[in-house]
Amino acid sequence: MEKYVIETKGLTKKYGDKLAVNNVDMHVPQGSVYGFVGENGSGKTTIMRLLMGLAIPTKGQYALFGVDSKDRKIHEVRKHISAIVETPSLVPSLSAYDNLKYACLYYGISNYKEVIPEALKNVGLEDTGNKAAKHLSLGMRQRLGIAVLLLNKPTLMLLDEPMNGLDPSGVAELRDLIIHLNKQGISFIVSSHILSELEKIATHYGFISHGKILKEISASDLALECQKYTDLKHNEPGKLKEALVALGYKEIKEFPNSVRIYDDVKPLELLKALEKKGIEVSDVKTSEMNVEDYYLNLIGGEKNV
Amino acid sequence: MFNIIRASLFKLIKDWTFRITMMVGIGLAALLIGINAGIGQLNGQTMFLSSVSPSQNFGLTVPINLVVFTVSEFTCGTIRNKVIAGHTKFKIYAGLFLTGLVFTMSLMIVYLGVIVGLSSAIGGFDANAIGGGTFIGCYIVYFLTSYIFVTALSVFFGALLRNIGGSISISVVSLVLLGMIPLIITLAIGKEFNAANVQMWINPLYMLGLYANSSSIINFLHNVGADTSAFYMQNAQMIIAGILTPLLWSTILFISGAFIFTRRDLK
Repeated sequence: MEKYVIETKGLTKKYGDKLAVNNVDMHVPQGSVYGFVGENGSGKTTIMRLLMGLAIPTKGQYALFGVDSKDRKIHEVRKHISAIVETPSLVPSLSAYDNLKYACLYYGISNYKEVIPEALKNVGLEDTGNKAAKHLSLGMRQRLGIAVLLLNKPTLMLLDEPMNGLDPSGVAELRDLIIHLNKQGISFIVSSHILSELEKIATHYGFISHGKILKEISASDLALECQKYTDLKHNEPGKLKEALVALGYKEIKEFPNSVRIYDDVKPLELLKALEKKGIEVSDVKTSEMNVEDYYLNLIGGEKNV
Repeated sequence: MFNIIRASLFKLIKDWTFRITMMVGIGLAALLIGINAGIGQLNGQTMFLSSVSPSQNFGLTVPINLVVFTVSEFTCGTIRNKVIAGHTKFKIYAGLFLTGLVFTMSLMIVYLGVIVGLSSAIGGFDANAIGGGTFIGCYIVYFLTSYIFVTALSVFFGALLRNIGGSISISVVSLVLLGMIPLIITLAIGKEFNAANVQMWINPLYMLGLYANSSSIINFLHNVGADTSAFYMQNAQMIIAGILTPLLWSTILFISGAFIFTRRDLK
């Protein structure tokens, strides 16, 4: 049976009359990179805040590493979890080094003199340790925030839009860091609007809209669902479908002005075969769905991810 | 808990607001000594009584800076990190209060040390003029308990409102009113300042405020022909009220502050 680092049951959060999180059942497998996908205001950040104990659920419950949120041991469990929710929490007037020292002190890390230079090096900030956090660029602050997270050697990290404000090389570095840490056994929940980047790291996905989880799926199952397809345009799709069945195609879907084939298609050969049957198609297009298309299909086409 | 306090003290030491306030305190002490020396009224005992009022002079900067320090934990989001790091919200609130107490006491003790030390060195210190050692001991206790209350109040409003402007306004106005009430009551009632007995069981700053405003009150009592020597006499009731009332209010503020803090969401 699959082990979950996070499991929620009917998790609900209301702000006044507004339902921000609606009866969410979520499952984050151990060792996974769980890509959290949803439009702005869909409830991703609120769920992360609930899981981190920053917000109190209106209803429902959650378990972290199998420990129920109402159990007193939950505070012990949290010591092995790190999170950046919205923006990295840093003291602007303190230097990068002192921000890390401050975090070491509340984490109870006594050997901070050895830990801090290592942490700065890990995120490429070894030369900027004395610079005040307020003078660092957004990307550098993001990296310093991650250095803070890594101090307590977490086994689960929650990253809310970690790629925001990073330049392309910063995004690539962060992606590599997540992959590297995941290989070391750290589980992740990563929410991001840069779905092309998420596709490169996620092993599982949770799709959310209007506070509800629409679907949870593994990356391998998603790849199957996003398989390649070929659209053929024709004003008599019924006739075209019959011809395709006669040609041996099995996975076919009829639309008002087109037919979609999910089987492997060699377009030129197919066109010749259809011509022989007296059918001329006006357009042939081979496509593959990506995570964004999949999400848009789930929510019904609204493009606001 | 120990880790939270250690971290907060580190932040406090590194905090420029704290350092600047400390320097302002020393500068203000020197200025007040200069002014009093200039008008020929410099002595250690008067400076000792008048310099610790939470509603005047340097005393007023304490709630202002304490509120800024407390609210900055929320605005920087560092309080969020402490929750994520697995500390309970009660321990975090207790940490805020205890760090605030160190903040308050270190500022006031340095300020008091400079002002009383220098003014006594220049103008002398006549303990008998203010009721002798018993009164001085009592006054130090009133000072300590009253500033525990000032800390509890500032941390309470800082954590409740999480907004610098609003928290400073409400804390300062409350402290000015509480600190000035003893003076107003005494002047209004007249000779029988002991008639204000009920006040000392209600107002947490009554005992400190009464003697911090002693020069005005003594002048008034003298003008109305009252026995001014009785003013510094301390009876058991006054001592108990001077200790219990501020501590009781501090406890109420601490418990209600922690209760609200543990039940509210953090942004």
